[in-house]
Amino acid sequence: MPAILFFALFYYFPIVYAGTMSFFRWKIVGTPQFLGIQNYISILFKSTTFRSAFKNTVVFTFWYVIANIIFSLGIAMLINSLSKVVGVFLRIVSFLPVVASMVGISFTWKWLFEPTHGLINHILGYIGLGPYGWLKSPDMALGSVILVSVWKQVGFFTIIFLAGLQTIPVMYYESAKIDGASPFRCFWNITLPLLRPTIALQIVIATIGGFKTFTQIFVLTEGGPGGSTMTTSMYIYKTGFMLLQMGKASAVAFIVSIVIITLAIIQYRAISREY
Amino acid sequence: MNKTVRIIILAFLTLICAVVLLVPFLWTALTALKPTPEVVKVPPTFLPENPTFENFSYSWRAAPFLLFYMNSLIVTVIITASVVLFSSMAGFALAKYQFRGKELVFFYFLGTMVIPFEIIMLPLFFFMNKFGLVDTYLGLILPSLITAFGIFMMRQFISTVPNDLLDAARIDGCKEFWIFYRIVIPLVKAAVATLVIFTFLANWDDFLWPLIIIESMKMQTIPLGLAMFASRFEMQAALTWNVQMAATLISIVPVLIVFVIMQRHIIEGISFTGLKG
Repeated sequence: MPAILFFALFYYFPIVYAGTMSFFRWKIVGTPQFLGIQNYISILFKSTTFRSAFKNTVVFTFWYVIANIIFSLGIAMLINSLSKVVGVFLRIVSFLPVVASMVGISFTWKWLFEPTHGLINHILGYIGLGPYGWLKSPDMALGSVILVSVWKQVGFFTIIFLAGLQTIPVMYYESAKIDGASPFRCFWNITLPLLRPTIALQIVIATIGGFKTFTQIFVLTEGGPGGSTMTTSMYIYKTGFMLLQMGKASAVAFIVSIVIITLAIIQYRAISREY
Repeated sequence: MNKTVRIIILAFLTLICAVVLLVPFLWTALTALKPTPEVVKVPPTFLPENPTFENFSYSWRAAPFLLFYMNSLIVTVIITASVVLFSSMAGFALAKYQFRGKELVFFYFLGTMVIPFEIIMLPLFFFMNKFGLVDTYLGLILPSLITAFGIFMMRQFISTVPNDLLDAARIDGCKEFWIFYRIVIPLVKAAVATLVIFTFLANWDDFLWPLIIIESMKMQTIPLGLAMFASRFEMQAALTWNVQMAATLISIVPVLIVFVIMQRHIIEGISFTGLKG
């Protein structure tokens, strides 16, 4: 009887995963030449596009993680302090972007960011802040993409922090208040330390997610303007499916994956040691 | 800090958050209702002066959104069912059975979870190509049919089922499969529900893989269809954001509605696993 179960599993996994993994070791797919693997790796290190894509990805992920964690923690604490009804409302509202289709929402933001017709510049105009280029400006494009990405995912992290916050016994706060602690100290000495494992886990999840970002970049900017929002996933896609340089794309994918895995391991180790 | 000040601050913060989070949705709706001459106005208007539904009817006619919905639905439902089914079985096997090579299998699954999609997407495409699976339903769903995440999650929850219960059933002559179906599953219902939600949401909105594997119009899923449809408008020089917004609205509203209705369960499920995980 167990055999039946096992066979069900083993049928799919080898087919899908193992099969593909054996493929990627080749790295010559696309051109039927057995070009040395070294060739590709050296191309990558000399390619400025790759390096800027990588840099963009790192910058993006960095701010993505920080903004997500800070805002989601803030919103979670806010929700916690609100009355039940309002709290639930905010909870739903913050999760709404998460549920909405990334493609659809990216178009919405594209429209919001539109320099002449977009709502954002319009409203800023009222306060007297000049029209910005947002997605069309090489300096602001990446920031804009980060904004959209964070907006979309904040709710997800908020929910998890909410759950985490609710496991902290109210007693701690009460006894702290009796001792005369200010809200800030409560946060610093009670909330933060107790949330550490949650925060750490969120950081890892957010980092991996940040590196993998693709959809919104594809819709919002396609890597432009001037390559300022070209991230590694966009680069892999472009190289592999548009330029059809499969071998090169595979190599890039491989490198990026190593980075992601390494980062995840490092972060995970750092967390475990804190405990 | 006295009570009133506190309330004011909280209200203010809540308002800001709500506004920031909701405005894009509202704006989508408002824009979708504006006729083209109004959309191109500078400075833009807030409320539509001449609200119209023509953008919706145009979008609906211009691109087979119903087809996209069907595709998305078929694909996502199949994937979700498969993932839940196989993850439960695998999780069950990993949690409750001892067999040779168990460690190996465990790490094998774990390994697949670590590998980002980016590596496998290219070779996967070749694989599909070789078998003529490009642009087919099978090609679309095959890679997503089982997830290590699902397996681990089910394993986690199934391992909380007391073994005595299972042994008692075995003594009574219950076959393994029935043990699985009749006892274990009902006990981990919450986990199953959560997995269903997770999987559904993730796959409904999947963009990269469908982008790679689907070519023809009639196979597009919602995210893909919307992207294709809307970017067509950007190519034409005219500013037709109202149509794009209408199309966007068509794409995202049903999911939003479902979410709002089921939100409690969804959110509970996620925080539930978020803590355990």
